[in-house]
Amino acid sequence: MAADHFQIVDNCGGIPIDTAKKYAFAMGKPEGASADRPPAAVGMYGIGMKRAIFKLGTEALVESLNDTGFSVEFTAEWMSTEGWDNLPIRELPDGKLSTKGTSITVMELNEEVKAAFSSGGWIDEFKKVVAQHYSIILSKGFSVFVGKTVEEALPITPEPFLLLQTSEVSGGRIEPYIYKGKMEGVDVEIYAGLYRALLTAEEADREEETRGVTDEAGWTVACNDRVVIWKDKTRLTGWGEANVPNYHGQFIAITGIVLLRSDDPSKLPLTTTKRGIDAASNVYSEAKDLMREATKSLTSFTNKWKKFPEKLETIYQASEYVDLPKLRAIAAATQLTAMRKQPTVSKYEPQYPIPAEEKTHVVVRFEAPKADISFLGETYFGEGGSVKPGDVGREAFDRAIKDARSPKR
Amino acid sequence: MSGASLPYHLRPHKAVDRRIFIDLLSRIERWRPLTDYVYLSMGAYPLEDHKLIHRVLGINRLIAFDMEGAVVARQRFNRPVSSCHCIEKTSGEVVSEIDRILDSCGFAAPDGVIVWLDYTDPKKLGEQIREFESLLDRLSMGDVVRVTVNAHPRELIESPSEKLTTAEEKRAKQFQGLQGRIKEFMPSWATADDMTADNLPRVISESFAAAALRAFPVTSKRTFRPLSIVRYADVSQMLSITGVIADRADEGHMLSQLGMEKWPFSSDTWSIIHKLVVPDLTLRERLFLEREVVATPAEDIIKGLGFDDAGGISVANFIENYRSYYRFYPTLLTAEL
Repeated sequence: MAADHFQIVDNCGGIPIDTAKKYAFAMGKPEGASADRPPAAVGMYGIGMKRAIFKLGTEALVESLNDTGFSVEFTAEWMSTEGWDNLPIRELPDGKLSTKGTSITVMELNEEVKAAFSSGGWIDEFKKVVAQHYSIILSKGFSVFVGKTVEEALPITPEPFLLLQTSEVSGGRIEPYIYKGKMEGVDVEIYAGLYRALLTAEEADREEETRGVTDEAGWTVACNDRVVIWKDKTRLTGWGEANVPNYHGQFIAITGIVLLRSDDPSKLPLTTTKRGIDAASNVYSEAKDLMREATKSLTSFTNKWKKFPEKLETIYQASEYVDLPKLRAIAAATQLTAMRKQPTVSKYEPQYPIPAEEKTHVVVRFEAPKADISFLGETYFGEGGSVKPGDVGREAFDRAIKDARSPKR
Repeated sequence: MSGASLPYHLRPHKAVDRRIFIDLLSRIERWRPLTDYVYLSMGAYPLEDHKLIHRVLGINRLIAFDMEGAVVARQRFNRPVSSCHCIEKTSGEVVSEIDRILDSCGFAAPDGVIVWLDYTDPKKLGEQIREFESLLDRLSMGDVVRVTVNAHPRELIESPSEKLTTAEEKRAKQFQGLQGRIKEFMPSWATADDMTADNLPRVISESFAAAALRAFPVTSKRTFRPLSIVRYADVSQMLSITGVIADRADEGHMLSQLGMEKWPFSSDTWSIIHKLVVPDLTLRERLFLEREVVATPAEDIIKGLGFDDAGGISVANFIENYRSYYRFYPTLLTAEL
């Protein structure tokens, strides 16, 4: 990516000359476009490639080698014509291209693109987006290098999807919710849980005021390994729908991923641009029922612990992160139970720890003058050092109850 | 420890850093007159920066703020001119209410504003960087923004009491701590290996760059241009970033008017960070150095001094640095009044 040109080169086998002629560089709806699709892809007719070229600039050159090497030129003149006749495909002599793959070079970049590609900061942000949206493909071993020049191009590290797992405490443990099965010809896998510790009362108060911590909560949805929704916290992924509360700071630890997969990409709930989810589709709305079920359980869990923040530490014993491959291994090894509503899907619903005090204790809240709190704090805990108001209140209560219960003289 | 509890006059690095800021402002004055600007910063109880800004640049429209009522009362006593307003607010409130504050101080529609957010709490880096972004959202062409934040790797661990045996473990934990606060702003190249006193400032500086890019995307007419980035340590390492909001089209012209290429603390990019090394000098040492530092080679200066170690800082190491800032070195004398 540079101020004067953009180039993307792959070694992924190239475009067969027939596909190029029939779909990739044909304009309008291709005729008889159903056969010979690679399995489990997202794109179908090369529409994405053409869209991207038009968005980037006004002149481009595509070269590709699979069976017969060829090149296609997009010129400014052609782009400004009304009809957009099919682009002429020029077959190249044997040996002109050496590796099986495709290269796309765009010259004459549009102004906005020029500004973006001149900025190191923008390129770094772009790399982060690639690391998120292609994290699954990247973690399978696909490499992407991005930079201002070929020499500067560095590999992108995928942004992993991680969930917390702990050892058992008070009859429960933190571990992932799992759903697995098939819906309308689409394989569905859902993993949900916590990715970080819950906020303490103090942190939650601060978050209400200004955001101070990294927020990675929300749902990620991938279709055939391509992420189409990244960490969403809206109705689109079931937040604030049915009995699920709206997302807010207290739920910062909750995250989940939905993996949808089909050899027939037309069955996937994708929008036409392939960049978003078709929320009205049956498959997605059924998957969302499951997502909401998991979200609801996880929000209830955080609500229960909200009242007992000082006991929170105890539930993270031996906590470790599990990544996607490990989650899949866990799903394969776990006894899943069938679901009544969707017999083709089975699930694992973990038992999360419940605060022992839930049934026997209540939370006391009140305000007091700062001066009184610091006076009591110094009386109880000595001068110097800052004592949390909550600790002062607790100490006062403990002393009062001890005093009240002790036999009167 | 951020140095907040250390009396101001015992922080020579901070004093020099502040003087460098004033020097930069006087260069900005070559581009735009600052007299009718508003200067807004925390200032703490002595209002050192307000005094300097008023004295050196002749700016009368001053605002100081602090979240503690007691500090604000003391500021009121120490203010350099009666037109200096001292208000009880948090930095977050100041950022989100900046227009209303300017208005209520009678400074509506100034030529520009100079805002210095001098943060101390390392645990709140996340809030600080988000406040910076949201401040840029509210400012206009010609406004100057300066932020100072803690940049010490040690401060990135929430509970330092945890047992960490190796340096690698410690850095991994520190990296995790930093990610927990500002991951969405961090550069993609940052790793746990960067959690060192030398590299962390660059990671943080580039994170501020990412925040600035959000405030002014590549297609916007304006940009936040960093001018000077400095790190120093009186107690804990601090990082000061100063820049200006400029029209993209006018950036080159502005820089040439400022004469940045000749200024020793200029940062052309977010990665150029100057390290300040300010040893504690006696008055006699200082006078000797001032006479010699511009023209005499370092080895001759050391010969003349007769020692090459000033309280743990090698003279050879700081002399280059000193050449750039000796003009700003504070004279600290005890006096009986």
